[in-house]
Amino acid sequence: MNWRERAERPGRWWVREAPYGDVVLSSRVRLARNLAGRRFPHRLAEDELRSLRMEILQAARLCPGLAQAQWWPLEELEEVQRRLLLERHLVSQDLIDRAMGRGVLVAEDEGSGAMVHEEDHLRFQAFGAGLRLEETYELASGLTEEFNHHLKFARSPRLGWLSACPSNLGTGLRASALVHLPGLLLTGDLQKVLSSLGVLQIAVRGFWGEGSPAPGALFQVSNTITLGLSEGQILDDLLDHLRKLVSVEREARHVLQRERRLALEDRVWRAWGLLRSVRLLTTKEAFELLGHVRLGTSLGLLPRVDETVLRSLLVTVQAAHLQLQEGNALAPRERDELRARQVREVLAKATEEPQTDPRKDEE
Amino acid sequence: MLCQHCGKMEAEVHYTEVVDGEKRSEWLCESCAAQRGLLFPEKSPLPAPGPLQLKKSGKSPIKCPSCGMDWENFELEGKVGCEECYEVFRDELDPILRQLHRASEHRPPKEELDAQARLRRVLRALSLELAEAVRSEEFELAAQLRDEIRRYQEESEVLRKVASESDFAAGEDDSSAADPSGSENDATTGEHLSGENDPSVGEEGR
Repeated sequence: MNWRERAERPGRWWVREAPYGDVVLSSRVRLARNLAGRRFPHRLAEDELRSLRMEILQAARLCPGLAQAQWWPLEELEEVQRRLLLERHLVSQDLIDRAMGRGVLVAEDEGSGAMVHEEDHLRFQAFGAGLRLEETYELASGLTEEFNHHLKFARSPRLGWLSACPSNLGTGLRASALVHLPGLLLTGDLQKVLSSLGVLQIAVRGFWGEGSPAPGALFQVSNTITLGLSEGQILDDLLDHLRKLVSVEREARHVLQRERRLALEDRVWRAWGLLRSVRLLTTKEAFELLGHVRLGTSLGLLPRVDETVLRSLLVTVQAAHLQLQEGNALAPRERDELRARQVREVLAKATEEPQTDPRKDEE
Repeated sequence: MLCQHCGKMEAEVHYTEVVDGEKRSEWLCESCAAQRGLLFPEKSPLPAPGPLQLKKSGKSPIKCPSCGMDWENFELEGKVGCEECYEVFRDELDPILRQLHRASEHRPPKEELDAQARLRRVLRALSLELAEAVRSEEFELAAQLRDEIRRYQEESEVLRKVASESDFAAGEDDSSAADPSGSENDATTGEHLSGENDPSVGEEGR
């Protein structure tokens, strides 16, 4: 697959059936691991990073779950290609900022893989559509086990798996879910709910990770404690919180429907109308309007649009995606124009077609 | 100055963001900011965990003999240099670990690493999804989930047979920390799929 094709649609895992998909867009699990007896990446020189990267790649090729994965040494990619990987959450900002000597493994459906020499030698990762934390964990954990047959990970009896940053010690496990909370935002309860999650040691971040804004009421919710609990307990706790979050968000949507129906309808129809007619559209506005449309379709207030169509747009309208689709660099205004056109066309197509079965992708 | 969005209220929130590589900033009043969802934390609402927040702990003269990192490096970067550092700086790191994790050692109450327990977890997750799919009338998804659950149940049957044939099930998993189990391996039968909760798993550690 070349970069243009890749930029035209999201990874296959992203459009699979999404349990709790009205609120939870996706689940992600990252497992931090380091190789025994080696200094951590930030203490390695460039040539050491490169040679260790080769060793890691060779070991990965012996693992069934990674043997076929796409491999990219990050310094060999163009900036816009690295940005595309970031927009798909396959790499972190940190990894592309450093780039030199770093790499990423990405499975064919993009649902699993590993970052090499991020903060740690390896960050195994797996993704699932909707709320599927446990399966997603099993996928990522399977990769670490396969890999550990070939290269041993640093582990201490006292501290568990050893990571460069003490915040990942123990299990090395970061589980997160991307959630859509427009109901709580509109009822004004969001702040309250999010800060109560904070008290429970659950972190809430913006769409692109730490410090990023949260356009369209999309948030990443993740565990912060990795030490002293088993993987199962961490996942169970996070799942409990997420299920509660799903139920309060649904309740908020119902409250809006009951008590502010006209305002709600106005808002979602306005978003619908705008997205079907705009000529210039920024990323932020696209996310906000798509968020409102998602809210409207989930409540049956708008014409039926397959949820995967909206969810795909959240990926493909991002800046690097647009530029790779076009095959050249675009000024912000050109991107806004292209983005607007893409959204108009996709929504027009999605509503004209008779509703056929959207779930061809599975298997 | 007045809010750049509504033009009526006094602006109180300065919002800057980078969109497509372009920096944009606006002054907003509180209610416009709230409407846009800007008022809740962009980072974690937690008191940001992490070493950056620590007060300087007095210079420790120690250097890690293995990677050469000293404590000042750690306070700057928030990362240790190698696995040895965790022993070398044990005393310095201990309070940090407590602050981050409410624990300073990794001794989880009970690891669920054996294959049966793992299957049980997946089954429980799938059965929740099934209940959810039925609730939201997504019957096609429900059917897929049901098939998936059957596959896992069969796998679980096989494992159970293996376990009961040899009474020494603990050795079958070579992933180092296999937990001799077998006490509660009966959780994967069909009736657990109908309920929301599987009472036999995961509660003891809370």
